[in-house]
Amino acid sequence: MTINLQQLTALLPLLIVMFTAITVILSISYNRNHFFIAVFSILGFISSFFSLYLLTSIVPIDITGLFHIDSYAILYIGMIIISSISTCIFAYPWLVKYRFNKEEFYLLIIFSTLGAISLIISNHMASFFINIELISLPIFGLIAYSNNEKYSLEASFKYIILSGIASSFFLLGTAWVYSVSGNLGFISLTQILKIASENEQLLVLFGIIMMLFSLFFKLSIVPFHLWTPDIYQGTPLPVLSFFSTVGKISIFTALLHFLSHIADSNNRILYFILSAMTVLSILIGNFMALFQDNIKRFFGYSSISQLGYVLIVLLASDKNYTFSLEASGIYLSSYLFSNIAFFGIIHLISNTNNKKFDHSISSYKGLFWLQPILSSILTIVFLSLAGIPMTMGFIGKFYILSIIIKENLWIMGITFFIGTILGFYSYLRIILNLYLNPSRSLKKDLNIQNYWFYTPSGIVIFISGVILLILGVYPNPLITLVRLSELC
Amino acid sequence: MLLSLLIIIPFFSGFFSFFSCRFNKNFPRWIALIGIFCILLVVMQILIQDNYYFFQTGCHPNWDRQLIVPWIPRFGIEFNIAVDGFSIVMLIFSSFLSIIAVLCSWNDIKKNTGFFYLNFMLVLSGVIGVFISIDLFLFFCFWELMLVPMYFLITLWSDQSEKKKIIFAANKFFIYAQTSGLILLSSILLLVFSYYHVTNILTFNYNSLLTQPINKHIEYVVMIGFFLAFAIKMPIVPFHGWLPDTHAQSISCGTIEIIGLLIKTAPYSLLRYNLVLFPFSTKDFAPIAIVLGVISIFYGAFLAFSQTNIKKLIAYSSLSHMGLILIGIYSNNEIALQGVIIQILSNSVSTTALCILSGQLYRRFKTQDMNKLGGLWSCVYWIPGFSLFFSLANLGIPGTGNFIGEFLILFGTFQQFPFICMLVTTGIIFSAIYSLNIIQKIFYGAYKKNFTIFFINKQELWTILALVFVLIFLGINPQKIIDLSYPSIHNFQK
Repeated sequence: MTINLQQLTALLPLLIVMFTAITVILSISYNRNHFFIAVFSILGFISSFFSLYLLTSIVPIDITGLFHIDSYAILYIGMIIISSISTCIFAYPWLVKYRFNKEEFYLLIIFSTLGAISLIISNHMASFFINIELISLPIFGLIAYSNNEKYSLEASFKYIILSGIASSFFLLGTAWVYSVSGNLGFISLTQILKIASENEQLLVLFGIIMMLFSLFFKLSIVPFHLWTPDIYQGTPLPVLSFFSTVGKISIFTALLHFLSHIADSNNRILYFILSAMTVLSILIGNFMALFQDNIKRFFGYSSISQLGYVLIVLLASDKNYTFSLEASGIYLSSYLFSNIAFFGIIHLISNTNNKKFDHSISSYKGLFWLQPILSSILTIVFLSLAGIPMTMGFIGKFYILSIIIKENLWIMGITFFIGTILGFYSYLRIILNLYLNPSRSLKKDLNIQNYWFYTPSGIVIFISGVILLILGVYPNPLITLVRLSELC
Repeated sequence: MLLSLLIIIPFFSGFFSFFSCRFNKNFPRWIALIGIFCILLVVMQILIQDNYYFFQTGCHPNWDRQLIVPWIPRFGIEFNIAVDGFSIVMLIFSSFLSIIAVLCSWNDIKKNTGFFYLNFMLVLSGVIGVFISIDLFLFFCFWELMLVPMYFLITLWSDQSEKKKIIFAANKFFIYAQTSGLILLSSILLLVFSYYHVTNILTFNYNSLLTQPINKHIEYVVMIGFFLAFAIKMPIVPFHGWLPDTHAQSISCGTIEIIGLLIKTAPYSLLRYNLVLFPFSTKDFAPIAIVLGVISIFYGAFLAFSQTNIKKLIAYSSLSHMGLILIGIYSNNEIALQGVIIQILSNSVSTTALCILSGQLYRRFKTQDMNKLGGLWSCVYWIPGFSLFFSLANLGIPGTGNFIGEFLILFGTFQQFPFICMLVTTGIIFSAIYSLNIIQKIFYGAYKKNFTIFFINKQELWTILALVFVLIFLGINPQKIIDLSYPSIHNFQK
């Protein structure tokens, strides 16, 4: 197994992140310096991000059978790195106040990002499994990071146990598939579904469905969604922004990659399971979001429905496969930016507050009259999630609706319709809340300094808000970017 | 370039007025007013520059002025705006009514003026955008752009004593409107993709979509989708649930925006899109639409009669008139279409005026309940007389625009559907009943309470007088409007 220079270059983003991780470990063991480690890890991510440019000319490329890098991977790796950078930036002011060890936070983030990046490019069930674990294990620690807070340990334990079960499902599925194919590479899946006899195909199918269930669990698609709101509630906000973007985007990308190998088998059972889950997660996610009072729980349900919409992409047939890749790219990037902006703002508000903030929706009442820019960005985020024109979320919804209409997926159409209307209602409730007369407690408690705008997190929030708006009005650059990665 | 100003001016004047609020409380109003005047000037300029008095016989609409900027080439979406005579008429009227609305909100809006006028101007830019956009995607964007600011206008500045009711009404409005928007978007996409299926060109351009007839069944489905979307906004009977509540709960200048501008975009779009894009299925669908129209007329009139809330009464009467407009649109007759235009304009003027008057009464007496008012004629100056005039105009007495509109619609419909026409004519009697009912209950009869005598101030007087003049102008000289919009109408009805 030799690796030539070209393949090494292709692994460059991964290597840079690894190098950052090692340096951070050494630095922690030598001398703890919070500021240095924060800056260093951010710089590591940034250089890894720019090294993606070197990859554009050499993809697609196979690396040792474990990894396959194509141009789509570059796009998604870029998204993940952006999210990690913003997480580090958001976490810094929070960690400054944190009483215990601060530096390990960055280490965990770096490891998890490492897992996410290699998950996106993995092309083999072994690497697939290991990387899913590599994403999840640091996240256990991250969720429990603020373990002196209410619900935090509970959330962490819930996630550890359920994630372990999901992983065992994955291993079980892999074993079933392996029992027929005798090979763990993804490529073998395509062949095995073509040549295997009917009984064997049933075995393989069972294995695949087991694996899918495990992935769906991580994405919190509906029958496996029950943990989501609890964990969203208990997780500290910077971690949540990481968890709900990096975790979900990378696993969805892996799912997309995984399903592309079995898409042309046109399996009916698989199709049925996929569409049933899509329908359920759109409807239940949106419906449950209606009744939430806690804004973190609300966002948990809302993320279920958002991922439900993007699952529609998987139902498109081979003919429109490239179009659906484009749709998922655009939808996920709008999901990414709205998440960053949302969690950034909520974090900013709760972090600068003296008292404990309970994150109930009514505690944000009248925010607009105290912090106009901040709540305008928040409004844009919600409008984008609801999919109202002139925001980036609308472009994503537009793509999804195009797929529905092009493919004549009528059941999906009706679901989309009902889900979107429910979604409008629930987002509208929160938007309106921002514009009512401010409650007295908010006036008293809210002490965001006016220079929030000049802090790094303020800049990140502002940029992602502006991106949501500008790419919504003029989505060409984004579409060109996504299509560029489709062509090469 | 002039065309792009039509979008740019309202949009930016809204933002300017929002930021100017910090300097002076009066700035937002002035900026909004000046912005609308500028729009009016631009429209006038376009009107004068182009000679509108000629016949167009080509089979596609010839746009007198067009601006095309590529927007999202991936889907063949362009920023494509154009005007023809019909749009010009609608533009003039919407800017005129917005001036009235600004004037009428002048003293009413005391808190957060900047944000109020921001929302106001955003609604206006959405309405203008709907009137001038030729690209279906752009049209949809403007269609949706109106909603969020309108939602804020309803919720944040209404009488805050009944908060739950207001939010409920506003949510109802928003959900209905979004449903309409989603249906519209899906049918637009269906149309575009079936066009793509035939020609292999992905485009949202109205003119290109006109050229290629698509599969008949798909055409029917798409047509139903468009019709549903517009009928919800219009509103027509089964889809009218949002109008009375929303109308009763919002402030008077908010209602002007809804009744005068917002719901007039629906008949415009029906004329512009349904009649022209789907000529065959429209013909099949016409009886159903006309039956819906008849039901709306009678249903609206009956319910208007039984209302005690003034604003709800106005809303139901507007519903009833929308039924008439719908019949005119689907009557497949050129004269009726001309009547529809006159009716759209004069109906919005007369209902707007009634809204303003009821708003003025509300400001003085703090009630919209007709049972609590009574015998106002002797203690209020000007308002009763004007109310009488506008209620009579609403029921269509000769000399006002409403008469011309109704007459032309009925005249045109008679040639195709004589029985329907006769049925509808009786509807006028019902509208007379509710109009006289409101006048009798509020202004005549004995005092319910002892009210002090008051005068309305000059500004209010002038706004109402302006509306009176417009209505009489429409009644006496409708030919001007008909001439202006004739080429477009001629193209709609082939």
